[in-house]
Order: sequence, then structure tokens, then C-alpha cells
Amino acid sequence: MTTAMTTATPPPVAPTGDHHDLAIVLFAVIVLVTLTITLWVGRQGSATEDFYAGGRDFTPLQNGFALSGDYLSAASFLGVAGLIALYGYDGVLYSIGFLVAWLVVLMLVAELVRNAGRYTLADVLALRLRRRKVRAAAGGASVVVTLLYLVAQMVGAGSLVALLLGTNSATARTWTIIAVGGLMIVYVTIGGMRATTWIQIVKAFLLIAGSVLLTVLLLVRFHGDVGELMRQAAQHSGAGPRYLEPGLKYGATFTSRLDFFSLGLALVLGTAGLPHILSRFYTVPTARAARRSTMWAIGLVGGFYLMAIALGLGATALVGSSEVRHANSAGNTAVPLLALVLGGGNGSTGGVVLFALISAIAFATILAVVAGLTLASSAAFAHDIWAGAWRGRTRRRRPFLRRGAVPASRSAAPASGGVDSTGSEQSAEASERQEVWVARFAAVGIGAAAIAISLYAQQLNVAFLVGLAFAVAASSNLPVLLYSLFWSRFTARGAVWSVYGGLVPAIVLVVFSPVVSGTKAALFPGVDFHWFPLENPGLVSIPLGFLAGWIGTITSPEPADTDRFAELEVRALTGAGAA
Amino acid sequence: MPQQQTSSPGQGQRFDWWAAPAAATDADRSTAPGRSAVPAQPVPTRTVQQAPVQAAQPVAVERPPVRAAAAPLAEPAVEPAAARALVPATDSTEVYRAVQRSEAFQDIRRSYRAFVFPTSGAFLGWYLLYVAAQAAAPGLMRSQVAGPLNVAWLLGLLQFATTFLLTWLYARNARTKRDRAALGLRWDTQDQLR
Repeated sequence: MTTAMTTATPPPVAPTGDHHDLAIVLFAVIVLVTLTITLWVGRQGSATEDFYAGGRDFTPLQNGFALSGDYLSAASFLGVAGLIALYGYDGVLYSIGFLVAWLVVLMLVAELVRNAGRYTLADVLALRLRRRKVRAAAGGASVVVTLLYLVAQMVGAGSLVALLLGTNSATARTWTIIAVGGLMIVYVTIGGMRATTWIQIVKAFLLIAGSVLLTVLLLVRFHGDVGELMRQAAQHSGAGPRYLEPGLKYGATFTSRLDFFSLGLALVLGTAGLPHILSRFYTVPTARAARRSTMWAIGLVGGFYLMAIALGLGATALVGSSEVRHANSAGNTAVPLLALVLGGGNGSTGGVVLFALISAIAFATILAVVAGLTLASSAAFAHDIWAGAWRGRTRRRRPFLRRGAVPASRSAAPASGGVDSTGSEQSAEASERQEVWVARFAAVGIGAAAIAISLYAQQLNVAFLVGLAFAVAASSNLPVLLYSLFWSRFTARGAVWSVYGGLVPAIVLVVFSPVVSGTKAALFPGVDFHWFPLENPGLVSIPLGFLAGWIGTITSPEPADTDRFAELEVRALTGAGAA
Repeated sequence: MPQQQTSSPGQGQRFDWWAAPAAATDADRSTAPGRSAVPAQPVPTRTVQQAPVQAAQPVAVERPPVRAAAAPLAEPAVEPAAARALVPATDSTEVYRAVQRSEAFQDIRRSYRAFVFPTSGAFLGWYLLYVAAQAAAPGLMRSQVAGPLNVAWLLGLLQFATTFLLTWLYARNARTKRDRAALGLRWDTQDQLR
């Protein structure tokens, strides 16, 4: 995924022609449909719970689709298949890391986070560590992770859409980035979580349907003989049998193999710390629904990656590695090119339709993923940094039951234990309304910042950013989350140290790594100040995050608040008092 | 008694697509009477040791009118719910502590951790071993198994298989071992918190 979004774009797709016109029409249809969803759904409610959590009434199936929609970016649809088309088995390795990561989410995170939190990751921490700086640290780390991911997606989107539309001009890329950024701001500010979720569901459905269609066509072409598919792929890869063996991409030196290990570690641990994935669990009513939606997501993501492997092999077998590389050095157009061939080749109606369809699905994927990221980022900013830490309002004890669920005989009583009078209840509601407005402004601000950074960075090689986002999520978000959920002696200092102890090393190590300086493909190829040999910092920064949290806790002058831990544990495991 | 009328079915209406809460709690109580023995009466002070009460009558105990003064418009004897809603946070802390100590909760926690910790260790170890094998033993990974398949592909496909298998095992474990007990405890706890 990481290297897949390489922005270096050699000459456009080899077969040019009218198939791009149909693609443009379908792109317009996608934009129209998503905007309709946003306007339609956005009217259904504008309370805090609607904006951040989509009203919490999605079903597990819907949320399962939305989870896989958030997770399967264009980079995995086009990128993983492209990597397999170019590097064979080493591309397969990627998909496995992305899938196994979901077991961490399922077993250790999904249900407990659903029960213990409210809108964001920092809510879980705040339940037992009521400190502004804890909230600020966790919120800040979430903003960093989502922003890194966002910039990577948008820069990739610029070159990808230009590629799919058959142009390579800088103007087209620039306007694509601005248009994608503008659309995502509209989705989030008007539609909130509800619209974003529906966009994810539509996109995930299109993505899965498109993959199934191509895979079926591919298997029909090979009469269901997968062995023959693999043999032909090896034959047309230019590498022979080595195509099916490990090491084509990562086998050159021990450092590059270690680098892949580091990336693998970041992938498998990072998913459970991604803010836009975690906030998805708040859109379902119960922990059990969160579990079932994760199971759906595992089924969909797993099935998708199995199909992506087949499609990657198919692209090599039918299009050929050299042709794929000629169209785009990172292999991003492998799947659309395969669609062209499977539909009947360049110039045929089937080929044109299929190419346009797959391009439109990739475009929908880009739009959906950036919208999900922007929403998570603005929620972290408004709910954690602004409302939780900066404004420093005393955290209101949340109602034990949702107001709609309180029986009529009791609804007259204020639903919460910590509110003194109805007056402060009203002011709390007013401040929540204010918070949603801050979140909307934050979405505009973060979107604008992402557009600006992406425009500046579009000539740079930002492929490492996705891997970095996973590494930061795994080093700063996951340790603090796991410690909070499972360690009774964890303290506020441990939490703060854990967040910064993972975040700072991850960023610093990347700054001094070969991806920023010292190599030809680096961010600043002209200078060389690198001393850290690996491209992905996960191998070092993830253990550091866990270590910092442990040291911070055992050196903490104050003891852990066992009362709060009791509340967290009971809530997390039973759901008592969950939002 | 108002408590028994409104104890839990009210909230259950939202979740009618899974186990009906009232039925689940009842079933839980009838099958395992000791499990729901969470002290229904919040402990007034922290020093009182509230061991799981053997009497399995969790909801019926009337709560002492501790904070009657805080609820001017609700007389505790008539409307205990309103009084309960206004008790300060310290009491809810005691409820959570008492629930945490209860046998029923410890059972849930034990069955969750006993499954999740070893399994997580196992699948993370298996995945990291698999990734490390590419770096450490490329020769082994290249050896052919059948047709175009070599060890590396076989292990990779096995990763997919184990992921699906563990997902199913975890869901089965949660469904059979703790869902029902956790749900019963949830309503019991929320009854006490109100």
C-alpha cells in the first residue's frame, strides 16, 4: 500500500481513447450520488451524537461494510493488486498484514472501546485518567495520524485520477486534489458521521461487487485453473519462477528485509490505533453489534484481499509486468488495465465499459476514505483538543442511558448523576452544540490544510506516509489504549509518556531515515542527513511507546485511581452505563 | 413496585434484534443463581466489604433514602428513581467497585481474558514468525510444495485461514461464554446506578 501510491507518473495509460470519456461520466455520477446522500442524510439530525456517531443506530452489517470501506483505500484496491502484478509474492505479504491486523481489533479493542468510549479514542482514556493533558496528547496524536494518512491519500488521488482520466498534466492533478478536498469537506460538514457512513457503505459495496465481477471473469478466462493462472503470471512477469518466491522487492539486502519486518509490525498493530476505524464502533448500539460488524469487516476485507491477489496475478498473466510498469511505475493501473483486457481489449465496448467502471470505483474509494479521515480528524480536534483540553470544561458525567431509552415514568428526572440542576444540563447541551460547530469548522480547516500540504507535496514522493501513519498509530495510540483497558496500575503520567514516547521517536526516526534524505527517491534528494537505516520506524518506535508508558507509570508519584479503573472495566466488559 | 415494572425491558426495546434483555436476565438467573448475585444495594462506605450476596434477589432491595435532600421534587419513598438519578458520583463509584468484586463479573472477566490473551499471543507470534521467515529463511520459503505453490504461498494462505478461524472461534466463545452473563450484569448494574 505504501509504495503503491508513488506519485511519479510516467506516460499515461498505454491504450488511450474514448474509454476515458465514459469514465468522466461515471465520475460525475459518483459525485452526484454521494452529494445526494449527504444532503438527504444530513437533514436527519444535527445533535452531537448524529455528527460524531451517526445516531448510533447502524446495523452490524451496515457498519461492517462501512468499516471495510474506511479501511480499503484506493491504495489497497489498485496498489496491492499493482504490487502483486509487479513483485508477485512480495505484494501478497502486504495484504496479509492488513488482514491479520483485524484480529487485534476484534479481540482486544472493538467491544471494549465501544462500551467505554463515546466518540473518540481519547474518551476511553478520559474515563479513567481525567486529565486535560491526557486528552490533549491522545487527541493530538489522532490528528497527526489522520493528517499523515489524509495527505498520502490526496496526493495519491491527484495522480491516480489524472492517470485514470488519461491526462498527465500538472493542472489536472492540482484541480483533482482541490476537487477531492472540497467534496470531502462538504460531506463531513453537512452530513457528519451519518452521511460519511452511508458513503462508505455504497463505496464498499461497489468495490466488492467490482472485484467479484473481475475475479469471476478472470477465473472463467482460466477455466478455474488457479495453478495455470500462477504459471502464466510467472511466465509473463519477466522474472520467471522468482516471481512466485519471496524477495523480488524486499530481498536485496538484510536491511530491506528488516524494513519489511518493521512495516509488517506497524501494519498489524497500527490498524487498532487508527482513529477513523475506532470511531466506527460508536455508530452501532452495543458492543455485541461492534463485534459482529468487525466480523463482517474481516470477512469482507479477507475476501477482498484474496480477490486482489487473483487480480494482481491476472494482470501479470494477461497484461504483463512490463506493460503494467510502463503505464505506471508503481503498478497503480494494473487493475484497470486488466479490466480493459477482460472486457475484450482496447477499442471493444466491453473493455471500455469495464475500464470506466473500475476507474469510477477507484474514484469513489478515494472520496470515501478521505471523508472518513477528515471526520475522524475533526472529531479529535473538536471533542478532545478543543472541548476536552483547551476549553477545559469539567467533564460532564454522561447519562447512563440514552435519553430515548429511559422509560416514561423516569424521563422527568435528569438522566445523569453529576449534573446539579437543569440549568447546567441546558448549558451542557448548548456547549455540545457549540462543539459540533467547532468540529465543522475544524473539518474545513483540516481539509484546507490537507489540500494545501498536498498541493505543495504533489511533486514529492510521499508514498511512505501511509506506512508512517500506521507506525505512528501503533506506537502512540495502541500502547495507551491497551494499557488503559487492561492495566489496573496505569496512571496519567504513563498515558502522556506513552503517547509522546511513541509519537516523537516515530516522527524523528522518519526525518532521519532514507525516505527524507540521502537517496534518489527521497523527499529531499539533494541533501543527506539520514542515519536511521529503515524506511519504517515501527520496529523501534512501537516498543518505545510501550516502554515509555510502563516507565511513566512505575515512576509516577501518584498511585493509579482504582475506582476509575473499576468503572472502566465494568463498563467495558458489560456495557453498563455505555453511551 | 415501580422498580420491577421498569427494571429493564424499557431499554431492551432498542435492541430487539438480539436477545431480549428481560428474557436473558431471567434465563441467566434461573440457570445460574449465583451469577447475578451482584449486591443491589450500593455500599454506603468504602470500608464495607460487599462479598457476593448469596441471596439471588438483586433488584428487590429498596435503596435507603440517602440523598433525599438533593431531590426536592421527588420523595424517595414514592419515586425512588428520581432520587437515584440525583445521587452524587461517589455512589456510582461504589456500585462499580462492588460489581467489579462480584463473582459474576470476575467470571466474565476470566472467560474473556482466558481466551483473548493466549489467542492474541498465538496469532501475533504466528504472523511475526511468518514475516520474519522471509528475512531469516528465504531458502526454506522457496521450496516447492505442489505445482506452482511453494512454502511461502502455503503459509500465506494459511494466514488467511487462521484469521477466519480465529474470528469464528472468538465469536463463538463470546456468544456462549459471556454474552448472556454480561447482559444480565449490565441491567443489574444500571438498575443500581439509577
